[in-house]
Amino acid sequence: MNQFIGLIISGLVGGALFAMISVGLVTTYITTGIFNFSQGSVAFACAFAFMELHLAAHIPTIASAAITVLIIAPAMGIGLEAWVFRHLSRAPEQARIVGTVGLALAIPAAVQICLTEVTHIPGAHVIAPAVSNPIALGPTPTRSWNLGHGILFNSNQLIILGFAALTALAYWYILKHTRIGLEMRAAVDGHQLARIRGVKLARVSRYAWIMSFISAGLVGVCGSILLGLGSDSYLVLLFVSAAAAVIGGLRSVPLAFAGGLILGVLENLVSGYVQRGPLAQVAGLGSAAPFVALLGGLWLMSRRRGRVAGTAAAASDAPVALIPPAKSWRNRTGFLVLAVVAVVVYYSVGELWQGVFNQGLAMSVIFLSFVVSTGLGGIVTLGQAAFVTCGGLLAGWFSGSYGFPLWLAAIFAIAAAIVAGVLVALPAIRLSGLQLALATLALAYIFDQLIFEIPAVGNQANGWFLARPRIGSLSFHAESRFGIVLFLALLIVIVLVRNFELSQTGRSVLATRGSRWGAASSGVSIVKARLIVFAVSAAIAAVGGLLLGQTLTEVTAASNPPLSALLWVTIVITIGIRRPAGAVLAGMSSSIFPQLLGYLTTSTQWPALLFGLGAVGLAQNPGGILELHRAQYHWVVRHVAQVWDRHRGGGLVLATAGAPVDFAATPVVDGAQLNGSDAARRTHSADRQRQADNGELPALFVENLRAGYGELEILHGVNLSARGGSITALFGMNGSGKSTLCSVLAGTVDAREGTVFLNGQDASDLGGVDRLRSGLFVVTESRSIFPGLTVEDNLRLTLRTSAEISKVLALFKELQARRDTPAGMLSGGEQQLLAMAPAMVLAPRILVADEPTLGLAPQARERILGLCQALRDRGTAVLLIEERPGEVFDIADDVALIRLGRIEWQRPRSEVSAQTLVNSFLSVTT
Amino acid sequence: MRSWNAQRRTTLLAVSAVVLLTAACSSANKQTGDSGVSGGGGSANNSSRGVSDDSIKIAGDLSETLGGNPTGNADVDLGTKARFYVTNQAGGINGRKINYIGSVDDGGSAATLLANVRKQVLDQKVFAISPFDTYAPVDASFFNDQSVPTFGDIISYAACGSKWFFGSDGCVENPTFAETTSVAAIAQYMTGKAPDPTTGAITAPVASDNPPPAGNSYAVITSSNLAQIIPTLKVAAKHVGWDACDYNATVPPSGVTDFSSFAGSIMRSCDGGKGPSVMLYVLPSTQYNVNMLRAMRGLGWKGQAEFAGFDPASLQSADLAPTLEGSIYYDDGVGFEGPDNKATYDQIRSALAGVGKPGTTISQGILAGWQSADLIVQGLTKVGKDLTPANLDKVLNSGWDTPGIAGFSSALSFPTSHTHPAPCWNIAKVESGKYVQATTFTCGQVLNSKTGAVVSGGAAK
Repeated sequence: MNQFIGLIISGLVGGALFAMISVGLVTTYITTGIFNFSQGSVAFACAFAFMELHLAAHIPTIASAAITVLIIAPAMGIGLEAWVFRHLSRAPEQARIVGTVGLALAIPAAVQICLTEVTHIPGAHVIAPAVSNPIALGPTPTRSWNLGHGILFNSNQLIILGFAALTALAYWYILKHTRIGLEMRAAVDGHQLARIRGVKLARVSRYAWIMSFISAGLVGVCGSILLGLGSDSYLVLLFVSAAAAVIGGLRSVPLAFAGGLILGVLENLVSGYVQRGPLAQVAGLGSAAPFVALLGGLWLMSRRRGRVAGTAAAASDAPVALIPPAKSWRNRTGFLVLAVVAVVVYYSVGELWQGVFNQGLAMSVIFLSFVVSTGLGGIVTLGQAAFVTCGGLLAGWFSGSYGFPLWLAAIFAIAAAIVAGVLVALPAIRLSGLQLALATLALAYIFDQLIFEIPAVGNQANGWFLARPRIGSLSFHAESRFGIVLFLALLIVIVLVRNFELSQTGRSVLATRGSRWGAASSGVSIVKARLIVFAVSAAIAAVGGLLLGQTLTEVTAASNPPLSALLWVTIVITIGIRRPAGAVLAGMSSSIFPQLLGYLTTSTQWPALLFGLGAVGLAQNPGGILELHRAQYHWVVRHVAQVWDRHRGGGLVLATAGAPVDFAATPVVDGAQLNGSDAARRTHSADRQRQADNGELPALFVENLRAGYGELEILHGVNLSARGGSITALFGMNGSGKSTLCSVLAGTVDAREGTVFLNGQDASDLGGVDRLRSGLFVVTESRSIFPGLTVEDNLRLTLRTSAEISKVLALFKELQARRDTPAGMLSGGEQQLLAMAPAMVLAPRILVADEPTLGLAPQARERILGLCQALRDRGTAVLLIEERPGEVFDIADDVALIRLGRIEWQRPRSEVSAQTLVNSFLSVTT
Repeated sequence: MRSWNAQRRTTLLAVSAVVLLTAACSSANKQTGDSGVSGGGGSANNSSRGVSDDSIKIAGDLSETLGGNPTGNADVDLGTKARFYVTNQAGGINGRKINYIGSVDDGGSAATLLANVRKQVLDQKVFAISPFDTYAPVDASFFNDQSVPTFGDIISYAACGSKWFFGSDGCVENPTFAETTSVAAIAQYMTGKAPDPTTGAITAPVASDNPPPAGNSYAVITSSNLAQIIPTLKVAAKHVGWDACDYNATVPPSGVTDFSSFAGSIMRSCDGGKGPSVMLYVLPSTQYNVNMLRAMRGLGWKGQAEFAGFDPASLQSADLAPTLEGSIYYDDGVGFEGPDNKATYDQIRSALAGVGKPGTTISQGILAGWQSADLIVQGLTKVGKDLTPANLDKVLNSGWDTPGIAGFSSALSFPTSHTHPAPCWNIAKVESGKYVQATTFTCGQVLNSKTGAVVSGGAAK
């Protein structure tokens, strides 16, 4: 029992570190949609900042810690938010994952390079002394207390627990009791609505990042005593904290905190209790436990039907590019020339460089597995290292321990990797994006800690020698000869990958990636497609691992730790993974680049820094450098075509045959046209401004509005007006563009042409806050409320002062009675009341309500419409958008009809008869 | 589509044909070590790689960090430089000065080590490698192919089989032989008696001024990559007449944040909950060792802590030093400073001043670098003026006995020492924040790790 309690208490300390990281992870994920893989690395950077401040500037530890946590950490947060995270939040999910992974590698590399390179400057050891041991924040020597019964506790542990408690308290207070916390929760609950209600999402994100960086800073300052000075342990810290975040469903901050504590205890209990007995030999059981928990958590999350992650940027994955068409004859000759040149170069350089190229070839095979999994299957896989190690290590084990010939051992090893790949795929079938990436990582760690740590498998950590092939008396041992083997193997794998891409299975994989439901309804089996992708990718990675092992002549369990897979992902994304050529270029770069750098600098961290930054920069462009240049090339071609055509006075002809269609690219618009409408717009708006100032313009005036989504235009030139002190009813059937119009008015959809005037002011450039200030209040379709916030919180978001809130509650007794109930639990009528109630106090100049009476009982409808009339009587311009005329028609002053994106007519109600309405709805021309 | 595939295949075939033709033509001309025979290849004429009329080019390979944590090996480079400085001042080796171009870090990674060595041998054309102090698993095939004499602290067992690796303590990690030094060292310290020259046993009781643990039991905590030393240590413990605790668990090399579970387990496996009388701490960094020791002390452990090697920086740390007070450090490579080796230490200090680092604290890294540099100097001197790999192999591997430095480093005998460890040790104790020599440099016996039988005896120095 004593052991149990002791393990729990000390487990809580480790758990406290996980908890502090995971609350930051969840907070930034739910507010910005970015899962920050670099959170652990930030803690690492803060740890070193703290230590260097103390050692170099001789600032006492507490002051150094305060400077680090309160100044340096937030500064990092603000800087990275402006430079990286702001752009990443608009990128597709794959880019967001890879971008932060790149940052996770770049930050420690930068820190270590600074420290290494600085030592070359004479006298620099005064500025940045080498750190040989972590520095404790607490009293030195450490005080410890024996709590009796063999349970011990020391001051460092106390500090960690204290900081964790402080973090928990701070997060709770901020989220529950401050304005910014309210805005964060609102942004999570309803992203669009929050924008409409005037929440500045950029500001909310910035605060979220500052909060999470501060908690990472705390971990860095107090945790280095436990974590040591190696950057790897901070990455592992992040992954375990990710497991804790998953326990919180990637949504709940308190659950994530608790999850961190639980995982710390779990890890400790497992390592504590399995130390006796046959499992004692497997050192990694304790450290594997959190990853098992991570897998379990992800699997549970996938079973939950409801909404999982909060806001997450609305951007979906970039549209899948079609398979690039066949190369033209001219390109193929170029390829041949390149191959001949490469061969000539290869045989004229010395053995050293032949070895470098050989390693590049082996890495190319490994990267080809990414072409299958990420380029084709769209899966960001962070666990490829496990398959690579499988290939080499198991082949070595089978041949070294059991005496199989290497080719037979290789077959077994590849088969084992395929089984592993299927095992990875099975629990992950339903997962996608971030959760899948986390699952692959978890599985890689489980393999690494459990299977590869078995002494027999790893030959007692000595590893296995892998001989190069020999056919009869012909030996391929020499570098130049072995290069042939590698080259042929690479060619074969490329052909296999291309054939796979073009096969039916390959196409079905592409289909499921483009649209899961579309694929499923076409009879394509998602399960089968995913299993095959994982199996093929694993097999290729295993072959690569075997070849790499032969190139390096040995393989150990530690040859390819899970973390190396992160670096591979950044390399391969930077260079480009859509095509095999990208994989080969990436493979050669990964080997040649460090070799070249070795001539310039002694630090080994540069590849991590440069490829990490490359991944951050190019994350948005899944084609990597290759496609970036191709895109630039095509842009130049298009631009030239434009200029040429304008000269000839003809229309626009895009002469880029062979380019992959990329729907994500901004459509090319003829420059002349744009300029024309801008100028016209400007003169018109000057006129309108004058009219508004004279009081001639209606409060809401829409002129010639065109708007839509993507390539689709919904509104084809809408002209509408609503005067103050009147109710304008806009009717239209489904699909006529009512909601789009409402969205444009609210500011969530941009107008492409035409103008919206709010009180005579051109509203094109106004965001949510400014539209509110212009006096616009929008009630969107399906209840403009935040279901997860209480009634009072909902009001607090829209109304600034408590006096206004009290007034509203006094006016609406039913809301008063339910002020602490989550808004999602109110009845339909109460919710609509809640949505519109603030208008009574705010007295907006313009009220736009989209289907305000939809789904309401007659009494509730009456109430709502009564509200509208009250507002009209006060001088508000009320625009009611409805599908069915009904009672709205009765209270309207003006009636308009919208059909197929155009306003058919707008007349005073007196001029509209019931027959007119019927005819319009039935499209009968009178 | 089908015709496209066929076109593609033709291209690939054409390219492969070109490659094969070129390869066949060119590899007929080149003969860079492709026989694959161990130790074969390399040109055997007078001009030797890295050797000119007046200089010998040497470079080193170290693991300065492991998992990002510093290992203390960075100083090995300095020790090597200092020792070579002494030789160069005295005129060099047979008229040639040593051109030491420095050491490179591999971070514990086998791939990095191989890349570094390839660059040093193929690009920078060094004659030999020294120091060689790496935690990365070593594969000897490149060294054999290229005939690269390598002198250093040969840790990896894979290197022991090659005739090109000369370890300054012999082959330390050969699983055939037991890891005797730490046990013998601590037994000698605690009993005040050297082992019996014939049987190697230490039969005297524990001296009374040491804290008297109940019974003499021995345990070790290490990381999983060194797990193989555990059974051999048990054999060694039995050999000196002690009990070995039944504890086999290891810590993952990346460490854990909390050692209390391990501490509790060890306490329970030894002596009915009292813990071992002596415990050896071999974790990747001093911080981990100290964390583990704290966990043990917190559970009331009163036994003697033993650390491998020594780490002056940790005694400077206000946080670590108090916990380390009273600990024993044993070193099986070099002798701690004491009256029996003062001359050598003075020489080291003046050499450090000579290379521009006067007053540097002598760390274990500096000593290890000095020791392996001393070995290569002895070896190259013995080979003589005709300095080629082939001649070195002929001279040193046909019976080369080197006496070591008195009170400082072990005697070795090649080719035996290619596969056998040199079982010498000595002890320092941490007293008032400083290392104080507690036993002089003593040598013992090599035992068979399975049976415990004595394989060879070493004369006490």
